[in-house]
Amino acid sequence: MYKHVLIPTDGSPLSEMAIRHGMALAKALGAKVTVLTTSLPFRSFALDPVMVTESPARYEQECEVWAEKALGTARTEAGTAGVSCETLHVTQAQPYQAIIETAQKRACDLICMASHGRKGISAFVLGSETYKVLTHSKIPVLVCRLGQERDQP
Amino acid sequence: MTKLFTIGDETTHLIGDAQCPECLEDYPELCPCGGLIHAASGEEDKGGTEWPTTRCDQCGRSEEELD
Repeated sequence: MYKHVLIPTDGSPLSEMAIRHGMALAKALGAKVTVLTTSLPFRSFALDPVMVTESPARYEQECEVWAEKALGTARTEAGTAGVSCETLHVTQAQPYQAIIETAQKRACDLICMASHGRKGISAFVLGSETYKVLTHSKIPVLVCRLGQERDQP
Repeated sequence: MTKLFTIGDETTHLIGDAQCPECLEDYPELCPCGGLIHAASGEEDKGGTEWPTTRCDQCGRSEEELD
């Protein structure tokens, strides 16, 4: 049914759960996986303390290191599951747009993502990026919730 | 004087305030009409997750209605 699953990650524990879930699903379906992580572009006037204190070059370097860590986790999970996996790091101001555009460009037919990201893991309200992907994506979206993993066999 | 408007049960969102303190994280957002889309917690699904509800403070459209 699904041949190519896109799994966005922000490196949070819940994202890692979505990666494991997406890999297991891909394995069961014989699908390939693309794992995407996004960084915000550097802005001089920003609330993020990393952007305030760093130079653009330093900020990009930090983002690369951070992305490599998040994507490395995904590659390890893919290897364990025996799933064909590509990883991608893009910089865009609106992460949900990067997710949808990547899914379209790479002909993904399913997006598998966590209900919350780093900013809202304790919140009861659906994470804003997940909500925006659900709202704007024409590609089916599978949302992994907090607590879902322990319910799985 | 700042005017308030209502999303769901909340009547405390500030019209035209890009830093509206009542909005969920990452909101308000710019609406194509030039207004601001505010967000509040909305209905809870069976899994216990509340879905945001959104509305523009100018045209009244939700984010879903913009597509």
